[in-house]
Amino acid sequence: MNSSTTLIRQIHPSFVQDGRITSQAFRPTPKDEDMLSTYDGDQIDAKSAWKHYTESLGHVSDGALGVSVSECEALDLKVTSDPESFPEHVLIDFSGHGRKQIEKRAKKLKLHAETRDWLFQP
Amino acid sequence: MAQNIDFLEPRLVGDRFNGHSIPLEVLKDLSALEELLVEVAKWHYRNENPERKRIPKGFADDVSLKVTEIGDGSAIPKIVLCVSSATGTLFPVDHREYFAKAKESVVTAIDNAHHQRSVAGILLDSHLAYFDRIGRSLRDNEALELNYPDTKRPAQINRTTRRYLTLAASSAGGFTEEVTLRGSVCEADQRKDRFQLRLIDGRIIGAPIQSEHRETILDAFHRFRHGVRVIIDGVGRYNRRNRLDGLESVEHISLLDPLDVGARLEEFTSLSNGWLEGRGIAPKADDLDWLTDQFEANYSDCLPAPYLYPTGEGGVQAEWSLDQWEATLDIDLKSKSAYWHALNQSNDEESEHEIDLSSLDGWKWLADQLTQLVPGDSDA
Repeated sequence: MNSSTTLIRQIHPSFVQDGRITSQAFRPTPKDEDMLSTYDGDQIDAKSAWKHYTESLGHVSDGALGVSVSECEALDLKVTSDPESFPEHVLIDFSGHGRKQIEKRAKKLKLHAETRDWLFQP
Repeated sequence: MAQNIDFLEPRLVGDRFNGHSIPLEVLKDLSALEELLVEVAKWHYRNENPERKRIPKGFADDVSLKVTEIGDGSAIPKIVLCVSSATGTLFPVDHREYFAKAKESVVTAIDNAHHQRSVAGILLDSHLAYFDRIGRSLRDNEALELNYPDTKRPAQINRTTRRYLTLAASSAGGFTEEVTLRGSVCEADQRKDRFQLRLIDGRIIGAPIQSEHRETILDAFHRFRHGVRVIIDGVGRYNRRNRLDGLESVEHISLLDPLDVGARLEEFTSLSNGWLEGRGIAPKADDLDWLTDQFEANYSDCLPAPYLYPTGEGGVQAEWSLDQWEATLDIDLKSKSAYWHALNQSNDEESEHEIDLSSLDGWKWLADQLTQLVPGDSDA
């Protein structure tokens, strides 16, 4: 994983309305303990990540969007591997930021992801 | 010459009846009540005159119920029994006696229904069927008190009692109720004049195509693939298990905006706990209804429609993309409060604010913020 690595994020169907994605898709919930879960795009492609997420983990996803490691780091968000969950698992760390800062970063990440467009949609 | 006899002063209870006014649609309920009273009066006559094979000519024709005035307080229509004195028969019947008994039977049946007691023997099945129309226009928290001013025994017709009375008839397959439904027109059969409405929860129900709504229904049908939805006010038909089987009639139908708040929030009622990676909390239906009502009452159509999403914490997030601004309103349905955050993507200007959505001030604040962010309006 390096600064140009794309981090793949699965998008829940309820997080899309009329084609528009909510910034929540790029904001950890309180239960995430400030960690946003993604896939390491260097290790797995978007389609395979979607299959793993929906078939192996049993979650639902409308498709995969992506942000780069450098885009996260530019927002002062640390990116770390978390292979204990599964080998390609990567966490974007929002800890240390207040609510306003988290909201701002989520919106910025969403904009980056939208500029890149869907990496995969079933 | 006709003689007017004071007969009934039912009280209509509910916000719509404040200022002693009665919506026209409620008059349909009173009309059905008159039909019932005439039938029950005839029944009493037959019971007391078994030797008579026929109801006397003009028994009902010479009698009518009329609203002569609306009383003070809540809406209290003063209903008189109007009896024609020129019956034209040699043996006029004293209608008053049978109509008084009819009133007593109807009041007793409603009072029993209110206390979940049997109505067997008080009214016939054919009489109970009238309750499918009496009180159908009443909404939640509204009632028609038939025995006012006897507050100990108000004989209250509301959604619960009229359903009880309708279903008390052994022959009743169900009941009808006025409904507002949102959904999409997935089938239309012009030969049979029927269409199929797919509700937001996925159920499909049938409904008639009435000529006055044909154009709108076919328009919605042709645009089904584009996700076009409609909102319908009509009469829904329910089975004995309280399940909506179909629509008996359509009173109003309109195409919905793609971002219609009510339709979107109704979608969230299908979420169950665990919806988001096993941890998302499902918003409560009552809370979603509250939010729908708040948007309808306090959010101007002149403002840009919000995009709405459920949150993992059981709330709702409203969002707007306005020129360079990305604005979010994270709504906590429990506390009826919300966190506002707006970011200008071009220069990183930000604003945040906590607002109280149970107060009009909170909604006014939101409207002010959005008005400032709408492109082109800031210089106006």
